[in-house]
Amino acid sequence: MSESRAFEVTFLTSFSDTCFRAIPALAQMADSIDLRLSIVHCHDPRRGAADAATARLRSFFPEADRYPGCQRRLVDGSPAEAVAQLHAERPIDLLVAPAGDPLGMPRLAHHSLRATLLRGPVPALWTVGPESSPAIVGRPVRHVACCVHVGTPGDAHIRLASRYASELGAVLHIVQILPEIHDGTMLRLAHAAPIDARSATERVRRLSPAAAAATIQVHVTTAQRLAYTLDAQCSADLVVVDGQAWTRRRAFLRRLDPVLDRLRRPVICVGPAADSVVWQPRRRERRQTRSWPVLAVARRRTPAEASLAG
Amino acid sequence: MIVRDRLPLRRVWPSVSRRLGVLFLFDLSIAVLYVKGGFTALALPSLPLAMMGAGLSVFLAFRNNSAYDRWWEARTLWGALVNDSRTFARQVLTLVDPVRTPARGRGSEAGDDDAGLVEWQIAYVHALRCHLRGQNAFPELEPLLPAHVVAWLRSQGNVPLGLLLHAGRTLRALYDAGRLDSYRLVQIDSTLARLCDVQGACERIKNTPLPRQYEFFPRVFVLLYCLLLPFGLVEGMGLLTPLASTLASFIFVALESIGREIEAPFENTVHDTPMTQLSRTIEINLRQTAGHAEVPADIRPVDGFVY
Repeated sequence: MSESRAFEVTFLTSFSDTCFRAIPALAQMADSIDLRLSIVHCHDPRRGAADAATARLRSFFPEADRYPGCQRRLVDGSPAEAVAQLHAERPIDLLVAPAGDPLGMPRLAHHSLRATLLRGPVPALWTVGPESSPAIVGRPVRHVACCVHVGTPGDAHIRLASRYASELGAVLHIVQILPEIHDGTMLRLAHAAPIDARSATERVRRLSPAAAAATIQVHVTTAQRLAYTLDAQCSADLVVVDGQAWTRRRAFLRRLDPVLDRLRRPVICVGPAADSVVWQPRRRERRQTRSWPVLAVARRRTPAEASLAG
Repeated sequence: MIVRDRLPLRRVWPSVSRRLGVLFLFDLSIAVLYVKGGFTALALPSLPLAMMGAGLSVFLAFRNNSAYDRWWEARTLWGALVNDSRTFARQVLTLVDPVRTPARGRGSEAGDDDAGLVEWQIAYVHALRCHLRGQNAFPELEPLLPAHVVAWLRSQGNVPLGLLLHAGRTLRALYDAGRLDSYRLVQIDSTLARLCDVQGACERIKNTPLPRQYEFFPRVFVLLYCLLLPFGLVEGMGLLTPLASTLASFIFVALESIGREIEAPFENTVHDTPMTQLSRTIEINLRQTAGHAEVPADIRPVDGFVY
């Protein structure tokens, strides 16, 4: 990815309630980093006319029309194929895919779309669950939490989180998640990387030299207490996780771990494609001043001036 | 806001399914224990439950009325915002003496003459909507306002209030430039005062929730009533108790959740005041009033919902 290319963000919308609830986060993102937003809806021709779908797409997130370079696209076919096609046309840096509307019943044969998208060519997937808190979703990102499963490989999400935090000037929280305790745990942990704060910090700085100036805090928790840690210790505005580590498999079906949807805050799931791309959002230059804005108001012309002009 | 004629069950079911599922299983166990297990002591007289149900109905009715009043007041305030926005645009276009100089014409980039004030009003409406929703307004304000104004607004904690102050200073500058007399200035400033009143009332609704007792106690009493209901019905209904009890519980659970959903009309949910649609309506009206060539399209409901 060249330095001059804008950060491509594609919002894949199904018009669910969660998609509308994600809009403040996109507004905050648009004000924080230089991005180019595309709003995409995958239309099934068997379910209605394309004109109606286009009208719905235009009425969704209408304020985005003012964002620089924003475009809307109605695509036929499956979302996974649509994303692959769009990525081939112009590489997507961040795919926004909020959760769909809950059914209120167990979905036994459900194959998660988000888990499918994570296996595709897009390096990172931004998502938020139905239980997201409006107060957290739209606020500026000042604390980025990166969840690291102790003893598992994979550094792409750490690199991505540190880049994002350093670019936004946010505090980076490394949340080390201990595995479930059982008889074999002690043997596995003995071979795992050390989990002390200094080692974790050195690992982050080694992976991402850009994070050298960032403030890093290290926490240790378990998967059951992750939500509490993110709330009470990190005050995390954004969570970055390894998408593969948080994808659950049952028979031949894949789904994202339900814990992510219950976190009440946005989550960026980093896919395997992130290993081969340079993921670099650029902070927007924003001018701020306390000085009164100068008012340039044309005064009323005198009769003499009016006669000269006329 | 929901505008479709019929509310599909799949919109209601997720918010009540878990509670009703647990209650159904509980009711079923009570019925089976009474009918098959012979635990006749589980039956309770129905009179106390009837009294409890009546009291709970009154409580829920009062709570839902209060929630609806807040929802309706929010809609009324935004209706007033529509009217005042149109009034303001009409006033600045008709009461401010126009000036056309060789260097600057109508709708100049300086943005502080009468056409700039129309853009200002559009910006104010969008800023208020974002302020109430907790959304960053600056991506929308930057195309509408001069860069130096946006830079100053970033230092303001309350962006709509900053815009009101900027408008007031612009009117004062117009007065000093001889394009407004004192009478017309007072008239236009009174419109600004009404806009400020609307903003303050919206912030009052946003920042002052219903007393927490009105959320906590209804939920507790509804749960208690739903748990006791099968004990009062099992003697008369036997194995049909789960159906009857769950149906009655559904009514109370739905009433309790309705009040909770509509009491906060600025939370960016489907039950909100449709601020996005109203903002766009105001913008369309004002741009047409000001004679702008390009007017944005109206916002249509998406799947029967407008935001």
